[in-house]
Amino acid sequence: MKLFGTFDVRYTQCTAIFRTLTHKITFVVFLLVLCFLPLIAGEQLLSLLTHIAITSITVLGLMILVGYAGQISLGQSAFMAVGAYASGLLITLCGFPFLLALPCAGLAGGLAGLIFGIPSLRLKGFYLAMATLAASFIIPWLIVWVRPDITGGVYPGLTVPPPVIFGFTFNTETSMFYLVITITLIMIYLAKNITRTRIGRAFVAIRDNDLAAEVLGINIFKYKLMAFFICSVYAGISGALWGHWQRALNPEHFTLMDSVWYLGMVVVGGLGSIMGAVFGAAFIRILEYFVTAVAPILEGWLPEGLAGGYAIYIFVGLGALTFGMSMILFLIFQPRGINHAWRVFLASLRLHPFSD
Amino acid sequence: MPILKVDRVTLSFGGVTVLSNVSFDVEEKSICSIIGPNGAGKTSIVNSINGFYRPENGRIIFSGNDIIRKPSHKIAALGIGRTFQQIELYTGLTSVENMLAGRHMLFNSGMISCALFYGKARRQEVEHRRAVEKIIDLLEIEPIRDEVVGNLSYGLRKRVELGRALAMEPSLLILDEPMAGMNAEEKEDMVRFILDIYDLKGTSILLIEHDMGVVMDISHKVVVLDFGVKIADGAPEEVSVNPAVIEAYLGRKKA
Ligand SMILES: Nc1ncnc2c1ncn2[C@@H]1O[C@H](COP(=O)(O)OP(=O)(O)O)[C@@H](O)[C@H]1O
Ligand SMILES: [Mg+2]
Repeated sequence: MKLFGTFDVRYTQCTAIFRTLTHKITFVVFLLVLCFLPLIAGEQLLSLLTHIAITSITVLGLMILVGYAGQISLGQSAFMAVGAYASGLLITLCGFPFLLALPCAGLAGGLAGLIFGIPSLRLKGFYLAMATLAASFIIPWLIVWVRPDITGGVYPGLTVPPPVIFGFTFNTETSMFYLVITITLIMIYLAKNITRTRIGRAFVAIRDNDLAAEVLGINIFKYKLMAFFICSVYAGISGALWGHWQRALNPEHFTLMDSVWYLGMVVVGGLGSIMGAVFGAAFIRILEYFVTAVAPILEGWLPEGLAGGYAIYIFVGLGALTFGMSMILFLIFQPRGINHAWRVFLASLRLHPFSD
Repeated sequence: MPILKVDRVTLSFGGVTVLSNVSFDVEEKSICSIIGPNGAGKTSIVNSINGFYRPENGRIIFSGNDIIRKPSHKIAALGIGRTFQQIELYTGLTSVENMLAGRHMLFNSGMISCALFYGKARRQEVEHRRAVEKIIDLLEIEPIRDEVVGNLSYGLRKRVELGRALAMEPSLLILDEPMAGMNAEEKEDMVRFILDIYDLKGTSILLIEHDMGVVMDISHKVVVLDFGVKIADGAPEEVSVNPAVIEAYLGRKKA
């Protein structure tokens, strides 16, 4: 269904991202809001949005791998670590400019993903998940033990400078917000392009029917590896941005649990939709934000003996609990994710005068 | 000069021989049919041709290449397209996208070009979309071009699957029981489409059928298979009066 009965007169229109004037206007308004938001929003909100945007990038990659190509990876946060350390070290040790270090970080993440994606040529589903699990342990281990003199190991870790582009230093919450949002928009656009062209169709072909795909001329080995590569390029770039935002890296920031959360965001957002990745990242991060805000309040209600210094434990428990609960609720009530619910909502608006 | 030469192919699964010493040719620009009762080994031949099964003996020569040890996607790239007896579509894609995915090999845009949607990638999307639109016209599936195929009826899915194979622009099109499970009207349509494809594009067609009726009308050559053994081949008129065929196939069917 097209908005307000749009008719395509050229084939280029069929592939367009924004198909109607309404779409275009909505997008421009959205951009304007993002542009002017820092003028009114506090640091806390900007920081939350920056975190959502950085998370969206890594979830976009995972969405391509899981939602489109039908593979699975439990190594996403480890590949983020590769990107984060690559960018940090290239800048501090080799004097790379940020704009060069960032794509290199993507490439480094991508190569790591490629290596850990090789088992996908033989393994599927659960077994593949187990194989990629290895990345979650091996990569942090390498960071800690191979050259702790360079990486800083677990302690003191690695200090990362803020990004500098053409002499401008992005060292405030506001400037980081603009930088991260811009890169996120670019990454969304690239992901959208990949999924609407030949490569995206090859991915879905492998997901839906790998035997037919092979017989119809798709080299499934090549495309599975390409999916892993693209997925972890996204992880690398996301990790690098995270490092430059936090300015301090430690292998313990990149845990298996984070990889599980990213997979959860893919599911919550809606498998097989680019916008779903953003929705999923936003949903879980906002949930997390509220849990963090609520934990100290709950602490106040606790009986004397339990309170005092225990809030952090309550938060840990509460975070896992709400995350687990929201996953279960989504799988039961909205298995097609937020993106699907959003589309249903839009469709109902469009049909409004005629729907009941 | 035959476009496909199946030469003494033997295939077995765990000691059970499914094909024994099967040989036949498909002439260029002809319709050749393989018939035989259920379980005769027809699908196994097709699976051997496109590299899905690995026969232990024999050769399969396609346009001068021995393809018996080649991986499936390379065999496809040489110009063999097929449909499946049990429809094997990409269920999450629309009809158009299924056919575009069928043309995968005819694109050569790479990862970067696709990600940027610039130059080659953009041009080819439009070019191939145009080609797919012609197939849609030919197969009369305009109304369902943007439907996700998982939601289509059986007959329409069969048609989209034919479209996807056709989208590959194969020089040999293999159709594994394209009319199975269809009613008389749908069968008639399918026969018409097959003949249209043959007339318009001059594609060589290898048609697998279970039912003799249609095959006799449209084939230039018929190969009869029974229990993995070829019992006859030749023009339809010859085959239909061959005593071995009547005995093994028609005779048993009447009984
Ligand atoms: N992958 C397989 N493993 C074991 N046996 C098979 C396999 N594929 C086919 N067969 C056997 O080979 C015989 C021929 O099957 P098939 O080629 O599907 O026949 P047809 O298409 O003529 O109905 C059947 O007896 C079937 O059980
Ligand atoms: Mg069969």
